[in-house]
Amino acid sequence: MAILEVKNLKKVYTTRLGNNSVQALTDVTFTVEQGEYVAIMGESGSGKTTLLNILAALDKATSGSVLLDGKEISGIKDKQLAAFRRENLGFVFQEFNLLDTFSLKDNILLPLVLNGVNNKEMELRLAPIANALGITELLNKFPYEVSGGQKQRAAAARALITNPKLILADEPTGALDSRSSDDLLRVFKSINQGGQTILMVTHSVSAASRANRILFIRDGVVFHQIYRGENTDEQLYQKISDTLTLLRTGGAKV
Amino acid sequence: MRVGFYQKVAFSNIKKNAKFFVPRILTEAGLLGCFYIIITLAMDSRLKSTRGGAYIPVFMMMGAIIVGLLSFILMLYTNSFLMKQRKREFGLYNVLGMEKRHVGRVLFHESFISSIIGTGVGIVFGILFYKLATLIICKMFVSDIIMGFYYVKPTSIIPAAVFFLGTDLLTYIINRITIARMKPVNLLKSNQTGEKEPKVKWPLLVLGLVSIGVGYYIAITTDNALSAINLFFTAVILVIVGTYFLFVSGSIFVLKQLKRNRRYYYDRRHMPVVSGLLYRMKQNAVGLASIAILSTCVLVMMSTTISLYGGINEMLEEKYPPHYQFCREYDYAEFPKYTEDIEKIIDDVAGNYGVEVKEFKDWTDLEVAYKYSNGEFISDRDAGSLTAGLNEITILLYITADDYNRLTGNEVSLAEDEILMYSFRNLYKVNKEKKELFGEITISDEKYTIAGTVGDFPVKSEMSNITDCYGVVVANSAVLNHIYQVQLANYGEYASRYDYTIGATYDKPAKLYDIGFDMQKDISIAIQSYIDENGGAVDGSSDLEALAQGIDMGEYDIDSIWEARNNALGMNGTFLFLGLLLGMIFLFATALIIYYKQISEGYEDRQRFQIMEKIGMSSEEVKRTIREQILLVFFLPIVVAAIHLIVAFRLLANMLHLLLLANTGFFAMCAAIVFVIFVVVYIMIYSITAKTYYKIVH
Repeated sequence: MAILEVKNLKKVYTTRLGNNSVQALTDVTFTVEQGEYVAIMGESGSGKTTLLNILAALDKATSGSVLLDGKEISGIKDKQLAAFRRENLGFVFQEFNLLDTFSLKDNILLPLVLNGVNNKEMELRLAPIANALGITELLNKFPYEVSGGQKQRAAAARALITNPKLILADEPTGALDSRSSDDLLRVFKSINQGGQTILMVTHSVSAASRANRILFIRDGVVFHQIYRGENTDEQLYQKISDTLTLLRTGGAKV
Repeated sequence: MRVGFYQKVAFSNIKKNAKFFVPRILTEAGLLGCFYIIITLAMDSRLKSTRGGAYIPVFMMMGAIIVGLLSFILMLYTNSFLMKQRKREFGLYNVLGMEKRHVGRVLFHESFISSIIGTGVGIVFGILFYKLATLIICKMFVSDIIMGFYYVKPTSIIPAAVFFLGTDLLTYIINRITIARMKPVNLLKSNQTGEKEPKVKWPLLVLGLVSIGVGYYIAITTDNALSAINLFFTAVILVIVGTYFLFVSGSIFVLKQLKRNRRYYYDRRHMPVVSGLLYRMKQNAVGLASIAILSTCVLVMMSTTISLYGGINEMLEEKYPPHYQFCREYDYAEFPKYTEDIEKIIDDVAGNYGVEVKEFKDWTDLEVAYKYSNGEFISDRDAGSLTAGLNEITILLYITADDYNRLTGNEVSLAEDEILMYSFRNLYKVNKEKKELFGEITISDEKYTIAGTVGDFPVKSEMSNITDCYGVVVANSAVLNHIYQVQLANYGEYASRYDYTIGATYDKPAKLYDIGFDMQKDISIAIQSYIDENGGAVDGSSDLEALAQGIDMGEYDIDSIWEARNNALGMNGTFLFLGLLLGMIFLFATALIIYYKQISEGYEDRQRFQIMEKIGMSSEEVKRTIREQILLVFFLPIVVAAIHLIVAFRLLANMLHLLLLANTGFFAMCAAIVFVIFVVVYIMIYSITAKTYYKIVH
């Protein structure tokens, strides 16, 4: 079953005076199945961030449609949008976006608090997730007291705690050293193996090589995609690198 | 690098940072303007020589010192704020290859430009508004309006300019030192270091509670007006210290308690607000305490000065009629022989002015100070009757039953050991437990029986504003003379003398405000020629035989409602003017602190709210959180100020009593009105600055 369907998505940015327009997304179509782990790759300016913003309902497409679990995102009223995002989507950002006035625990619980979940239920949900992500010991610490990798794991816990239909990760390893990146990617993998659908935008080949499917975007269209198939992470890494080289040298569709 | 370059950079910096620089320049200009106006008023010889203007120089000079001090503090405050916000910018200069001395040079030009604009505008401001200030003063209490063109006084421009330029120079030096000490990396990062969650500072919390408690206790329990003055300052200092401590520690204590309560804390409405406030309080407790104290100052100053000024007429009605009083001190109780002659003179002069004297009264009174303890009025210098504290010293104001009957139309007759008593202050120190006057009392070792109390005493005592004071009616002049002789023997050179007063009550006193002074002058001239004709002895201590031969006029005092009114208008009017001006400056200071707080917090909160929106808070929720947070933060000080005012009310009313304002209800009304106006202005300031805040955050 497709949890996310993106059809003919187009986004044109117009300058304020209206005489200059930039086409960020030309025509993007793809679907993500329930339980998939998809990475989206592309160079700066390829339209990745625009795509993610539209998926996150932070931005509106010029034309085309995005269906999350069969529901058209653009059809949701502004007032319900925040609640919709809270309930259906989990976010992991490059810059962690943890609130420095909250302990890690409060940061993780914030979406539940906003959803009006009661105290007991919150505790019940927190424990297994914190345990799975290895941050149980750190829950009462504040963001400035822990490392980048630990912060990102807390951010991942915050994304997971609402049991979202889809986790959107924007360069989650972008601000991490290689060891922390590895840790985080292992976490993502195990979350995914638990059934969680993940859509990750990344620059990093090693991050992308952990996914089940990699989409390549260039000039606003899905240019190419690779399935993991029977490949190991290393083989996939090689494949992705080859594809990127091809993309950079301006090769035709493979 | 050429000099022109630094100036350019400095100029564009000021433009870029207009949000910070404009308030700073306006602050300097406004404060300088006020400072100039006050010191010019103090030196304006035209005002000093007008009626009621005698008080102006002294009080204005005191006002100038307060304004100067306040300006100094405020300018340092705006500067420290400005520097905090710009550290990153300076760090960037450093990284881009400017040395610290270059940054210093830019800083110098910035300070120079803003300082020149500030002082220049301030002086122009001061000169323009000086005329308005004099007009207000003339309208308020000086009877003659001073006309004329703008009055420019270089002797006050120079000290004002020097003071403010000096302050600017000092801030520049401070800034250079700050920059010199900073490492560029720190400068760059100074805005984004993670902050620890504040901890409750227990010692401060306890100290704050204690000092507020003691301050409040003093304010609530002080009865005596004169000791109120001394205690007032103790209480003020205690409350100020307590306010600071409680804002710093108490706010965090309360928030921590809220946070500890899981039920309360983990709620979508509470969690962002409580955690936001916790951090906000850490940085802003001192600022908020300052706002609370400044607000209290504004409220106290405005309400007391307005009620003093507004209460003048009532105060005068309390003390007069008689509107005109001729008063003479004597050492004997015989009624002088000139009463009818003086009354005729007063009547004649009134006739010349086309007004009528409704009635004449004359009486002899004796006012003696005693030390009171356990039903005994002691007149013993060795026992400290003249040096006792105000809670022990008690005044008795004697008149004879004859005078009492004549003045009030009653028909009382008393035995020689009987007296009637009246309490001016309704405190009944004499019989505190029962709150009434009865039984036996001892005056200088002699027993008297209180035959009754009287509801109104025909003679007023000014001492009743200061300490406990009773009116006493004695049987006859022999008893009065006996009391006189005893206190004379006990007190010697410090003994009291008889006061003989002739009072004239006129028909339409309001009309007399215009002609009163001239009339008084004419009466004095007529009395003088009467004395010259009759050749009376000059000093009142001559014996009774001398009195029998001539008329003992000696030196006399004149008291009149119009003179009292003028003095009151002059003094209370100066108070009012200063109260309004200082109140405005304090209000301005409050506004400034609020403005800077909103901006600095806006920048700090911005990222926080962006994150909240990203993880799924709707913009309405964000707005609501912001609103609740700001409301709590900015209305806490005003609530605290209101509580301070309510607690201080009794003490203030007591002090106003000293300044002859006895109507506490009127003071309460003034305080309430001032508070309402203050709240309205505060809300206006708040909503204007809140807009800036929203703009930054959103």
